[in-house]
Amino acid sequence: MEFKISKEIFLKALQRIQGIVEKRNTMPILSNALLEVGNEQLFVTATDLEVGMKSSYPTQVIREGKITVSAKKLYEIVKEMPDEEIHFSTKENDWVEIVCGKARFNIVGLSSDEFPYFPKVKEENFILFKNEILAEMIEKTSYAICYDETKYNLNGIFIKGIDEGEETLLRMVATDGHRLSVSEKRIEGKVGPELAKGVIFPKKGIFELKKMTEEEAGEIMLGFMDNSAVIKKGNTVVVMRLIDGEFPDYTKVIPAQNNCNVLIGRDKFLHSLKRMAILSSEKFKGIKIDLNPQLVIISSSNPELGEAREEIEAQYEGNGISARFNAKYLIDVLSVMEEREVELKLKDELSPVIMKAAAEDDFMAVIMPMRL
Amino acid sequence: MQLIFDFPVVSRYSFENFVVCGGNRTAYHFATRLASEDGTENLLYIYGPEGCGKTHLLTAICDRIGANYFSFRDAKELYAADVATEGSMSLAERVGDATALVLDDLHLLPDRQDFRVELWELFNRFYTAGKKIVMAGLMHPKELPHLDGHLTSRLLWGLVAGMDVSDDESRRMILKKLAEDRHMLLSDEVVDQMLLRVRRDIPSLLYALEGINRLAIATKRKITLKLAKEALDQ
Repeated sequence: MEFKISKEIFLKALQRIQGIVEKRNTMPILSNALLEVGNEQLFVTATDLEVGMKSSYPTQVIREGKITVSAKKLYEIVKEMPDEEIHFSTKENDWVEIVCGKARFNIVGLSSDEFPYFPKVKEENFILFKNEILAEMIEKTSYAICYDETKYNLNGIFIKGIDEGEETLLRMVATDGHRLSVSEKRIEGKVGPELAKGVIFPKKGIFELKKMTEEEAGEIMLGFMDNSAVIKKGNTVVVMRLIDGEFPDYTKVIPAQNNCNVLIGRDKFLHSLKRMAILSSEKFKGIKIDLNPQLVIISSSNPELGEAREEIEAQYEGNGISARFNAKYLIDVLSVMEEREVELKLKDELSPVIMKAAAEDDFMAVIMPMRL
Repeated sequence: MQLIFDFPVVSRYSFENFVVCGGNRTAYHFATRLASEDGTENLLYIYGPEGCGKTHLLTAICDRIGANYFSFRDAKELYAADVATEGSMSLAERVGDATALVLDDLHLLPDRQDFRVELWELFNRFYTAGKKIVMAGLMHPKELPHLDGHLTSRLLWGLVAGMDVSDDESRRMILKKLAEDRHMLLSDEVVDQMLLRVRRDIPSLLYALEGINRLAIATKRKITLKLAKEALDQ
């Protein structure tokens, strides 16, 4: 195979797949990218068998064919090439020659025969999403994803579509067992059986999806086939295997009896928490919140360092309550909220707190407290 | 100490995910025979210690033949409302016109003559109608404390199977199943450690498993041998 392509396009194509290729080197072919040319197009494919990505780019094809090469090395080479056209060609025994200006690289490739099959995507039953909606919902839930692989059903975001007559509600939920985040948005179009039942997108796939929403404007198409989700945007298709597990019944842990409602300014609360967290223990980040009428007191203490205390004005008229929380969990929630006024709903010292924007109902976080 | 969410555990009870091992093979075999459509068997009683899989088999049978499951664990709740009223018919009402009579935890049948009579009548109604009857309890029919003598001998007419999962291999397989219900990945060395340290009965193993799971979630650590040892030490 042989083709010529501009450095800018080739670099973008290779950069896009860097997050996909397998880094643990369990199967050498998975650290390679598959390059195919034909029909004036270059197709770049990468997969780790969980998440796969295939994109097409315009190119000048001289000789059709395909080859796989180390995704990382090829990216590093192209990145350092001069800003000129790159000439890419295969030689005997799967050797690859890359020439740009006066620089010439000969690198060893691997036959494309061993590369995993990338499914053919049929554009049927796709649902369309606006970039911003997906981006916002992922932003507001992904911080709570569980990173422990032994709890595999929590290693992603649970996504469910709820048909409400004329409208459809899309819900995303993530939890690590300590906190839970729920984001909801109205979308257009009808959801299929997979979304109606609910599916768990793996975290790696979620982060790729997030990157896609942040690239150029446009709409994202989502469909399902063979236990995988298919995402298409412009010239890129991502196929990710859904997590084969059942997401816990999160509705059972969202408290319904939290009647102590506090209204507090987001910025003041956020900065105070950041200050108070300085003296909390490195490991647990525990801080104490005392609710008093019209006043919230945040404090922390550390036997090795000392103690800190801050008062914040707030709208609250109930009884005095004290509860301890990991400051990071509260900060994470406040960091993804843009609204100026935050509502906290508490019950008692050992019950979870609900955090949401005072004026909105499309996002909610539930955080378990700490016990002394 | 970080507190954690108490997500409900949803156990899936089907024939497909039943862990078949030496000590429960007969019971499993009988249960599938009874649940099969062309089965000639209509009466089954299975017994064994807590956690050996009786409820699993009974629920699997119910799903297969479309029957309702009732456990005498809920007897109190069932009889509480009308415990003083004459001839409480609530069990019969609850079972109603079901396709089969499936009753679990027969050893918890309350010690009252009216309940015995009610159960006996219910049994006869299903038996004479040629409907399937499946019951389970901790012990052999002869040892059940509050059962009517007639019912005991009737139960012995049908298939009777004991379940015993006290050997290590069975407990190992059951632990893996319990971990799967909780979406936990349990390595062999953790299972070995549990079999070594924890009492032999399944409820104790389940309690230990829950302890390991809680510690792993609370401390955000992987379920390793080290973590399992810490949890078991607590």
